Amino acid sequence: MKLLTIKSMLKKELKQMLRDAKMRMIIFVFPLIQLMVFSFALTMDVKNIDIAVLDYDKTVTTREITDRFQSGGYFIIKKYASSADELRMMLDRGDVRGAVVFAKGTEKKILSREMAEVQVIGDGTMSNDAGTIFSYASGVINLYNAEKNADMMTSEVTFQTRSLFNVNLLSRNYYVPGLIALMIMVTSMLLTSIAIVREKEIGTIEQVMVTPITRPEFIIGKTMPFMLTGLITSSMMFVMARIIFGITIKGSILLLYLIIIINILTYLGLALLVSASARTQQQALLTSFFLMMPSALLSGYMFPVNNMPTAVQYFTYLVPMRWGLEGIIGVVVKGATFHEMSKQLMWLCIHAVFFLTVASIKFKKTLE
Amino acid sequence: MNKTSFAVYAESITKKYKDVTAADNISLGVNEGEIYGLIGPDGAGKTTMLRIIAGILKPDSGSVYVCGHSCDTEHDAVKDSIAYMSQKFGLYPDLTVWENIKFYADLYGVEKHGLKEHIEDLLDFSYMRPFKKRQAGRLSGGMKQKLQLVCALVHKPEVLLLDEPTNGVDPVSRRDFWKILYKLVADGMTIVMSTAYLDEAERCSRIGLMNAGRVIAEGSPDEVVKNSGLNMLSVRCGNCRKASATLKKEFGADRVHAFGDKFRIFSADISADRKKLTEMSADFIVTDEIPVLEDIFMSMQKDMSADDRILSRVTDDIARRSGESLKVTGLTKKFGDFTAVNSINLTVPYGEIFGFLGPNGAGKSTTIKMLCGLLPPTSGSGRVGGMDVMKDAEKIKASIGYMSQKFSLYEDLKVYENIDFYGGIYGLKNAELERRRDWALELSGLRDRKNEMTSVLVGGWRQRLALACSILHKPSIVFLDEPTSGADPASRRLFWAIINELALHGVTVFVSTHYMEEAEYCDRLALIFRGEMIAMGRPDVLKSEMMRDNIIEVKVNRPQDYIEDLTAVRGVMDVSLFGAGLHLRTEDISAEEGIAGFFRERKISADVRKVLPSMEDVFVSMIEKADPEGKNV
Repeated sequence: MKLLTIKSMLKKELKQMLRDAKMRMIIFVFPLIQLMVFSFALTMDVKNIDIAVLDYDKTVTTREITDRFQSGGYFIIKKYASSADELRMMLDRGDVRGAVVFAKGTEKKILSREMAEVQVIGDGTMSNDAGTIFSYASGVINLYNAEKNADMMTSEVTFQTRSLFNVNLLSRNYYVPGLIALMIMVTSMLLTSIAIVREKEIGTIEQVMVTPITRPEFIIGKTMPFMLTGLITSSMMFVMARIIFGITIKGSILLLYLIIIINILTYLGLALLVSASARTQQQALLTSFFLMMPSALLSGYMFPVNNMPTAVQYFTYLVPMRWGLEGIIGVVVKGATFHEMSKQLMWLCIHAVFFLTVASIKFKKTLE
Repeated sequence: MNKTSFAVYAESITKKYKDVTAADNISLGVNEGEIYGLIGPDGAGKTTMLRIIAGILKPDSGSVYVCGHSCDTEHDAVKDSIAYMSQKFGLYPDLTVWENIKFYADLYGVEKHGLKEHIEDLLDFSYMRPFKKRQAGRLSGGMKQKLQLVCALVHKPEVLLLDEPTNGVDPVSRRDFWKILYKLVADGMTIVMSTAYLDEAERCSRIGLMNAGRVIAEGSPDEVVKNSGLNMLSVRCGNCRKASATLKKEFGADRVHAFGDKFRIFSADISADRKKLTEMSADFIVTDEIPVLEDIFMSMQKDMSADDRILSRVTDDIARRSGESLKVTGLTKKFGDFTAVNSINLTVPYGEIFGFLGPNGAGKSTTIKMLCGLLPPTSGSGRVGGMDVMKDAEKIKASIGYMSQKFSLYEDLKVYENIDFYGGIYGLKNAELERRRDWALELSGLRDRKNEMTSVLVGGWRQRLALACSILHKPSIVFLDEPTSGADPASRRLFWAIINELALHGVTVFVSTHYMEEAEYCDRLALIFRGEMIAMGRPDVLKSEMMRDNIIEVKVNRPQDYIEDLTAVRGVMDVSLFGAGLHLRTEDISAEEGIAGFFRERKISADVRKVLPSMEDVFVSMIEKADPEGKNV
């Protein structure tokens, strides 16, 4: 392997890449925009839920409980319904996503220390949201009960919950680093697979193939620029995450970059495989997409791996993004150490070695 | 001039790109039913003009009228009456011939009623019917061009605009293509075309000779030559290289041009110059020459000394080698069931120019790719530059240079960046890289433009830069796959002079070409057809030995009108267009009288005479012998 040859390839690739204004946008600006948009939009935290209140009782007590729903920050009382039918309409139209119904005589029951019932209705089409509504609502009611009964409560077992790592249970702290893991896959795979096929399409690859450049020289020269851009993009994204969302890297930065580098190597290998078989840029793009979609879905980013059927759980071992994601989340959110990440690192290495080997075998320096 | 009496009328068109003026106040009128050729060197503005007439490019000033409609105000009427075929590939390779035509018909909103019959007619008309179910991507180069033409014709236009339609098309398919054009014109179609082939230029009713964004001469090809006021002498001599220097010193570099084995000299005073020449050397055989279009091209090039400077540097640093450069036996390449190249044997010494001729898709490129290690042969053995073709493909690559048919430079890199890149992967550095970069810039004539983007280069410059990049490492064997395709005559000639220099220094040059006059410059030729080598030998031997038929040339007005009737004359085997006239292949010489009689009876003045077969005659007759039913063309 000659350093000069690789240097020439690198220089040429970088010049081509950076000269094209569109390419500069795709590499450096798009990931950041994605980070911004997705991070603000993608949130599992249910806040400011519009609800309606149907109060048949219309007493001081029911109004007090209604106020508590309002002031908690989770609910906004958007409408007051006067009948069950009207309430039904509001829910059907989607004006509100939930409702609280007080039956007649609620106050009386509470004052006489009888069992009073408050009905909470949730829009079940968004099952996740409905669940959250119920748990928030019962929280509101529990708190009310606890205060009212404080004087006469003697002993009762209560929960003291504490969330580890992500103290405020902000889903953003998980989604933002996860998104960075996703963007690393998308940019490095797409750009690399297109870059080689583009030379096939234009015909320049023939001229390069006929020089004494060796296969490893060509592969390294052709892929390393994208390793570089991958690192630059992810670094920029981490800086943005820090500035805008206040997400800090809890663990070692060195370990983080080690994980990212091995992960990118895997994607470069995959992209090489794609470009060895594709003849046009479209083919390369589509093949990459079909590989990335299941990767993203099975990585655990959107659906926790533990919730998947056992067979599928085993299958996720073969998904490179799973290990990149777990590694990045581990270091950034949990501050995991090298030792704690050993399983992820092992799998990352297995993937990288496997894909790079297969790719360099499949990638021929001839034209067939 | 009355705008409406012309099929196409362009009025003081000006178009500027940044600092280049592609069209400088051009006015031209094309009559109904004529073939108007835009001829000129690379970058003269031909494509720009065609695009402006087609309405896909807006001129900075001036206006265009097509069939009396203004391109500015009656856009739709103009769109309906023209068809434009660009140099770019405009077909969908995954669709069949029929589907492609149908798609264009739908695009133009051709009426559904009778459409099927119309397409069938077009298929018959272009001899494409047998291929209507074939995918466009799998057609040969010549057929793709024909299909593009059919697609352009589907909405029954009145004016057809063609931008170098026969680039990279072999002679047999080119003849076919022209037969179609003549039929269209006979039906009243007006054709405006640009071409890099001068024999095609001679077939045009009128030509507009363009240079640097201006039309410098207009008229029939004969008129243009006559009005050029050029007088020519040609000199044949023993030692050409020595004579070249003497002649250029005496007459000035821009007046002396090497042309095959002789020099053509532009002369201001024929008799004085003839006298001077005969006094200069007893070896010189001096003859008067009638100028041809190519001479006009050469006279348009101002600075010929640049060419000399380029040629003097071609072989810088190249080590001379002798002996056998390449020997292969039984070289075969199969793609699945399809045999692309069948058992080719070749032995070529250093310093030979070896030409590959053959129709599109015959296997020329595949052969070249196998020889330079790009495609592993299916079977066969041999050595290239002393290395085994089967085992040492990678080692071969260090000692050969290859210029592919496709454009092999990076358009988004600057000129010098391309050189540095290829230099780098060939392992050149520091002082050596500097020296070779300097050399490459000199060879391509781009010293002052080294910071320009490669994408802006046209024709000859592009090709010379690609050549320079492919021989930066001083290889002793060079493979050039259709290197001059689409370049203008002057740059083609310079390119061949470079090839010649290389060969003189012991470099073996393999070259494939569709220009038959270029085939004459080769030391030996191989004719490849359907993967087989059907003939091989020196050009003159091929012409005299392999071509046993007689060739009768007929020069007559509107030669296309007589093709069919002449075929019926006794003893005539084949009639085909050749330059501005016809070539008839006959069984024996007695047919000449019958042909002359044919024109006498009809009281048509025609010049009929026996000629030596040209390379094109050889090519066509060989192909026809190998493929009597014409399945492959």
